[in-house]
Amino acid sequence: MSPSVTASGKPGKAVNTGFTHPLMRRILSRWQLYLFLALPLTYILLFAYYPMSGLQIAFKKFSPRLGIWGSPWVGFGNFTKFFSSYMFSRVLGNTLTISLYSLVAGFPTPILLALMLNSMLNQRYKRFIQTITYIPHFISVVVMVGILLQMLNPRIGVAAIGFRKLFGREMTDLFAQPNAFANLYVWSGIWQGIGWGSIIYIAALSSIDPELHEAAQIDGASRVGRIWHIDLPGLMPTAIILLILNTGSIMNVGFEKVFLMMNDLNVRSSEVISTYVYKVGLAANRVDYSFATAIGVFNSVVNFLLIVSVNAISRRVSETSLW
Amino acid sequence: MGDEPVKISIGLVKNDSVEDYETNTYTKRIEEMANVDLEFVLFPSVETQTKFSAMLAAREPFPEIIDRDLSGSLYQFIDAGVLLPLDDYYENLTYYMRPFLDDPENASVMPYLYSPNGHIYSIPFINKVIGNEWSSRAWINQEWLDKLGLPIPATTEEYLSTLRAFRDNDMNGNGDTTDEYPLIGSTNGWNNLPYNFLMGSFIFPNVNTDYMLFDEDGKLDIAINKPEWKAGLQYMNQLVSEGLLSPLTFTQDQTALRVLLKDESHPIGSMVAASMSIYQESDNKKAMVPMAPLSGPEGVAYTTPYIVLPNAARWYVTSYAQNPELCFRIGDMMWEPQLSVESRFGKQGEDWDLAEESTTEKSLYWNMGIPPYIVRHIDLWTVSLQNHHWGDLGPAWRPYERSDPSLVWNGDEYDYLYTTALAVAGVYQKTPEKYPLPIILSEEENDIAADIKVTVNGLRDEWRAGLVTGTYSFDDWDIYVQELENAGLAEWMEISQTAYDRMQTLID
Repeated sequence: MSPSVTASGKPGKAVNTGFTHPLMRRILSRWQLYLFLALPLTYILLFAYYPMSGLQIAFKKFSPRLGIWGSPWVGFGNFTKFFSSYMFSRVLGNTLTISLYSLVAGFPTPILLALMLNSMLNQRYKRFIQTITYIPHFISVVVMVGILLQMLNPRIGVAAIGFRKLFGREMTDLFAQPNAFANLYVWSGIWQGIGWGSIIYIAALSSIDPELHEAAQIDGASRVGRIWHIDLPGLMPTAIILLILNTGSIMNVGFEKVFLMMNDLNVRSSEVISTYVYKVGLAANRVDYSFATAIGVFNSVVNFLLIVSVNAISRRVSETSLW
Repeated sequence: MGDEPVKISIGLVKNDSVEDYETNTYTKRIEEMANVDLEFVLFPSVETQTKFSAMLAAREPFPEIIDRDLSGSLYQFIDAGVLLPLDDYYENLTYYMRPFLDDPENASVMPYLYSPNGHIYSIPFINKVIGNEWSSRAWINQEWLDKLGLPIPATTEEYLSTLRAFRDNDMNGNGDTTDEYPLIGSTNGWNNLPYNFLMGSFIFPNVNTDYMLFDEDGKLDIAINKPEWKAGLQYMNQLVSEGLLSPLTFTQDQTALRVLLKDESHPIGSMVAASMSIYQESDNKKAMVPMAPLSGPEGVAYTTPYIVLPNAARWYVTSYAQNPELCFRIGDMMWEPQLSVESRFGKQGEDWDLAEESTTEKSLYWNMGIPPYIVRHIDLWTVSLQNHHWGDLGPAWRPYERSDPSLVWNGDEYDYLYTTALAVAGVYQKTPEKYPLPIILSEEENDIAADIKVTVNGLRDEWRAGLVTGTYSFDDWDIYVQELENAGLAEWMEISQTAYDRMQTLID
């Protein structure tokens, strides 16, 4: 914006060589800033973009001996192999069911918890609840699934013993029911993540101007009314951004948890893309990096398209968007 | 000889209990006997395969000897020209391996020395542990049988009625007739799933080849879509639906099972498990006695072996070897009987001694006619740090007579090694006369077969669990058979037959 640039006027007529180029001059006059920028830029190029060149093995028959660049091309062979594989419809269906269910059930619950905590008057009690709800976040997945298996064991589990006392009959073995798998997966996930997920909403709520609440109280608004008309609209931008981000990981159902919860009885509804890739590509007696990479690329492309379209919808409808 | 010892480098994955390979007494023995100076290159114990792939890709040099089973990535190594074919050395240099190679009894395992390209690249490790080979074993509660005045069941029908009696009576005498488990197992642990043991009463469950067997014409066939397989599953389903085989078996892990096993009331009627070590210290194990395979409706009572093949290979000589002949001969020397015992049991005189010729003591497997050979003073496998062997790495040859079965029995009749020996006697060699051994596929064959195999085996396990527990219906059996076909079963069988025929041509 320096006056000299605007003054030189007509572009195209200027002699754009070397240091006299207006852009170059602008950069040079603030070279310290660009030097600062160069470091993170190099970092990202080196550690985020350069490794992406390895994605080419999705289109190759990768052999460790020939290396990433030397392996022969196979076009879309690895992709068609996945799409035409016998289990494709099952694993895709299970992946979408589990992740959409997780999104639908797991997205509003932390908001509800945050709203409830926020409208609590006793601060000590509020903090107590908050701590208790977010502690499960720190339990590792392996331990969490172990707890789940123990608690729901129909013979020795706490839940089963309670069930027997209450109803006088044996509880069914939920891990043996294919229909119960998605419920187990999603609700144990919510149990583990609700407190942690609500933190960001609590932060957003605390930034809402208290004057709004005072004014509403003077006007005689009820507590529910204030939540509905003040808190919820205040949360909306945060919630939408998180929703957009979450849709970007729809194809990624966490591997570890599904794998740990899976058994022969529920495999019909528990086999997801990531566990299938593991079984076919990595655990089989022939390690097929190309196939595993191709499925990874496929997942990322779907996720990318989803995030772009949801973002576009959101920009139109609510004027909140990632970019 | 007075010559300077020759330096030889060996790459291996460290066994955690070994203090230092350089100063190990077993190392010293080899160094003295062969006049060499062994240098060790330790590979990481996790992601070893990835490390190898990276080394191959970067053309990094390997040690002169790789002492590790490479069969999973053999093609990569051969491709890269890192491994030397040892065919000539086998022809001319074998001394300690000679008796084994020349024994016609071992003819059937000879093809497993070869890689699919027809060359031999490694020196095998053969450790005949009879208890591991015949580990599909079942146990029944003798105290309960005594209470009911019943014998140990010998047929599937007798077993059914025995289990019903276990279910209907308050067998453990705690006043509750509902807390008994006539038959139970767990998803993990050592052969705690009852499928294979029970299936043996209907069709031969050959776990070594994904349940492949020979049809009447001697061609490869698979058991999992046969009527006998269905009958076996129906029998198991009957056990589940009558409340005899607990459905917990298919979802609980060994830890949950142990809670029941160790419970004071000991509510277990029978179980399938490789060893009574699953009871750990609990005295409840004293009630359990081995049960031999049950005779089915057609009169068959098979059990699956867990075949130990010489392709559990060690000792690959690499192209980086300065003196490949010497490398080979050291491996051959490790087959020497005395060294082979030391490589597993440690230092003679400290950790173990030879049993006296005149000993009146019995071996663990005296009932199977294996004479006592080794008196063990210290079980080095239970100590956390030792420097007397390599953790059983390296080639070795231990037939039954010089391996664990020949250990002198400590006299405790509830010792789990001893009860295992009793159980082995019941299942030993209960197989069809001829059955296929594992099939080694070439790289191209494996490319096609690997995916089919994963899918078919997945379907097999899913349907087996579903049909037995009743979540799937036997009316849908034809759908199951069709699903197997759609997944490529026929193609897999064809590929296996080709590979099998090729292996047969290697038997001279």
